[in-house]
Amino acid sequence: MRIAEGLIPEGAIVTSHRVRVGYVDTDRAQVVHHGTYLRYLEAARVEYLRERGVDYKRFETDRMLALPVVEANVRYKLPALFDDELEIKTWLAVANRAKARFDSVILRGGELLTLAEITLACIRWPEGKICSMPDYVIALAKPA
Amino acid sequence: MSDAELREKLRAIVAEVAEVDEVPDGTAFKELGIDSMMAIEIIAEIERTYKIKVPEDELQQVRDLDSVVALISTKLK
Repeated sequence: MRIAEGLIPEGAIVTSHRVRVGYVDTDRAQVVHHGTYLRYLEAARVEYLRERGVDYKRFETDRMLALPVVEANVRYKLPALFDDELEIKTWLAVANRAKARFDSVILRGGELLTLAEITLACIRWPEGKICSMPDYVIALAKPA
Repeated sequence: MSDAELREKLRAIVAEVAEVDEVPDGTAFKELGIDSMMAIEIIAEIERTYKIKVPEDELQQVRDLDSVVALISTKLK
């Protein structure tokens, strides 16, 4: 894990996305299932892009591009529970021609629960072949 | 820069980006564990180093060191 615990890099452009933990998100141990966090993180990434003018739905349907996850690193420090309100802070930590890495922290009332680094490639539809990350996505990693 | 020097420079870039010890001539990148995403990272690093641009449709040519040398040498001439 490359991000320091709970530390958002200075100058990072951060999106804050909130979710309420549903009952369906939990497992038999009554905590949020580890796989559920990936769904939360995905929603946060989509919001990050939307806030910066990239509608991911149109990214796929109009531009015929997609951003599949190629690597996911998640550190679960404390469990989230049913009905918790979580805040997911997400920023684009790395973006270049080959990949984009979104880093996130998941908080509950300011308490750090989870750290994540999710790396995406860019592929072109319908071929499914990898291609270069668009310049306007790469540019999101740089402060205006 | 001679062709031999360029080849060795590119070999070093490939090795560094792919984090492999050796990049033998004639060995497919696939055999070295270099996937298509890493191949783009290699090209991106070469672009930065030589301040050139490799068009999207030429990325598919990158299969081994020989193909990288062939591709880049045309850009530098």
